[in-house]
Amino acid sequence: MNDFKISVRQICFMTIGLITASKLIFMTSITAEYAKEGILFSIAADMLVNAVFIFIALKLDEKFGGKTIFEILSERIGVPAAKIIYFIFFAIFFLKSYLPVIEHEEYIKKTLYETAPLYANVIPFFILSIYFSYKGLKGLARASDVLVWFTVVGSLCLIALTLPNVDITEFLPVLARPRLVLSGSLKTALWHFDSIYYLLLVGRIKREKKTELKIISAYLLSMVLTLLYAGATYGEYGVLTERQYFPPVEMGMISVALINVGRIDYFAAILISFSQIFSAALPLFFASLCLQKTFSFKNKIIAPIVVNLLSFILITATSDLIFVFYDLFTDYAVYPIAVVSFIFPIILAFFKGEKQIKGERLLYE
Amino acid sequence: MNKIKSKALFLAIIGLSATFFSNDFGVIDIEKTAIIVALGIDIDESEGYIVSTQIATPDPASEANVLNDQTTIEGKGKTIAQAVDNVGKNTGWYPLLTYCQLIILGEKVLDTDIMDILGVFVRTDKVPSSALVAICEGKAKEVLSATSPLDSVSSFAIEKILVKQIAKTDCVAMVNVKDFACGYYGISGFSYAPYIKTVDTDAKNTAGGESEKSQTTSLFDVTQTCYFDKGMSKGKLNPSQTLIFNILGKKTLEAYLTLENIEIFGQKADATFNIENFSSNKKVIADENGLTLDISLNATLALRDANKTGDLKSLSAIVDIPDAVLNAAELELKEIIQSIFIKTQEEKCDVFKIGETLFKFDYNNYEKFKDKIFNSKLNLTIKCNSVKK
Repeated sequence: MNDFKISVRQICFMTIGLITASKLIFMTSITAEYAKEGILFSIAADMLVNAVFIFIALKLDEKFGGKTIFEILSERIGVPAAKIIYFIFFAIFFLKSYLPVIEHEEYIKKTLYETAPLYANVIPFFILSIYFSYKGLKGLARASDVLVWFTVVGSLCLIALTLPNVDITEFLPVLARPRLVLSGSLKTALWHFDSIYYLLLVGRIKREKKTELKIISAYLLSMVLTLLYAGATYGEYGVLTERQYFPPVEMGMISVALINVGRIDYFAAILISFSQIFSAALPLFFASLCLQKTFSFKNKIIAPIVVNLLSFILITATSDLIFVFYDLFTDYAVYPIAVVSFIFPIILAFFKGEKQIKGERLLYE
Repeated sequence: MNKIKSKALFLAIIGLSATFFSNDFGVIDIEKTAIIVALGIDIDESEGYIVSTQIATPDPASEANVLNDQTTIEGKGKTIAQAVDNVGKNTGWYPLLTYCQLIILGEKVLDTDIMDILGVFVRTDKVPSSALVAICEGKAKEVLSATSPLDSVSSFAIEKILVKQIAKTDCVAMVNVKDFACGYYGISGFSYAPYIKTVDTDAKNTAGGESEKSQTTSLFDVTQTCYFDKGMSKGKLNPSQTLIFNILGKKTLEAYLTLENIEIFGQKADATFNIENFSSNKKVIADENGLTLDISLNATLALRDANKTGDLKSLSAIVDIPDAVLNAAELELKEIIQSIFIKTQEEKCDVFKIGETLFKFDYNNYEKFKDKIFNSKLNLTIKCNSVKK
């Protein structure tokens, strides 16, 4: 597992399939609540900032010649310090996992279930998540190959069903209230700290020609898909968007076609749900990876079990307080995640690269 | 062995996922479920809300004339949700609202804020936002219980009128829960709903196949429109005002205008014209004179019918319409639009969405002029052309 390198194609597919899927449930409504008609600018601003940091992460991969962040840190500041930093990474990924997991749980509970489900119904998600984390990068790569189609087909179908009802004047006045755009970006930043995933992929990328260009293009494509999706929802629901917490089952609802033939939009919603499961499990996957590195468990299933068990307890305990916890997360958790996502790679950029070290060694010898 | 283990694990995950998505653990037996296709809501001062639910039955066609009465079940409660729950409690059926596509509100709701009633349908995803909303003359329960020759289920008959009529002739101002709420919470606070009037007719009933008896059946006239400011009823648009209101708001596919006592084919006649290629442009001008609503319309008219005929050429599908008739059409359209404008300005209801247009297209002037919306002036430019020219 440790030697496995993920191909550029699979990273691109992960970006379009899983990263996009993480923005298709609550994000649109929460952004609309704060940014109003500036919703698209808010999302674009957040994602463009992340695109810059993804680029930095990819450059770090090139600079350090295929070494992972753990190897880079171990060689330069020692293994104990590297382990402490990886534990911080674990905590950050665990914090980051809360919203995707709880929004996925709420989405399934409120949309696919007519009556309140038994709590046991949440367990399959965590079992799948443990299995996903246990399979490591190879599993992530293979899942990405499949799920990209689910996300693309599902979201495009929903956008197509929505288009006849979209009123583009809902986006007017354009940028007349920039403070709302900024507020929307800040309040929903938690959904867009994507660059941190790519930091953990440093040293695990099977580099090829124009790696950076390909991956950044995939991220921009993910941004376009997200903007189209959020734009279709806002164009259709206007002022009501802020209470449309579950767009996959609400976007197509108004379509005249559906009134006549029934809820065929649920096929698209289920496709998105499949991608969403893996997307919600993604931060838990990386949290397990970091925990394994920190404690070097003999059996590699221990870390995924510990992470998912903690998450299960947290989700179970806070299930009825989702919006209280949402406020706590947007007010406080956003800062440590921002520090690790944005400041850590900049610090890392100042570390000596592999070529510099080799050069110095040669000079010394 | 490892392969067997991983296969077993994979199958277990698939099985658990199936239960996760399907709600197999909590599913309610279909036989214990009442599939509600329409809701009627009336207000009773002492009992609160009276919700009449029309329940889908396996074969409504077999006993068409009694079913509407029998399948409309009533529940009472202080809130809409409580009343719907009471339907379940009284019948032992779980009320499934996923297929509810029509919400009829009795006339008494016009005295209250409509959103107090419709709020529950926006809040819950159990009722689709695409459910149509209509106000009815008298009680909603009576409309749902009526027998219609259009469809054995009265709510389906009304849906046919609301949805199919709007798709073609623009006579009905169709609105669903989502659009009503969008209007309510929008900048202008304006929303509307069609007004259902029951028209009784006598029809022969051949149910049972042997005896033939006369029974009152109902047709529904939905050409009037109630309009609301922040959910409070402000008045009604008559059928011609409803038509113009509709075609001003969207691209029309087919609409008709009837002019009375006009000079055509060299004689006085009443004539109906097909409005084709209707285009309108609406803008709000804010200047030192206050707000002006500027509407320019362009319509191409084609003669559909007249109660007098001329020579053989007059029966052509494409008849040249004299300028005098075009002028009369322009005047008619102008009078209708002015009548809506004056009426709604007096009642302080922003039917033309002047506030919203100002906010979206001239945001810098919005704060300055937002209190002057009901002192606006109207500037109309109407041009009717003949289809042959």
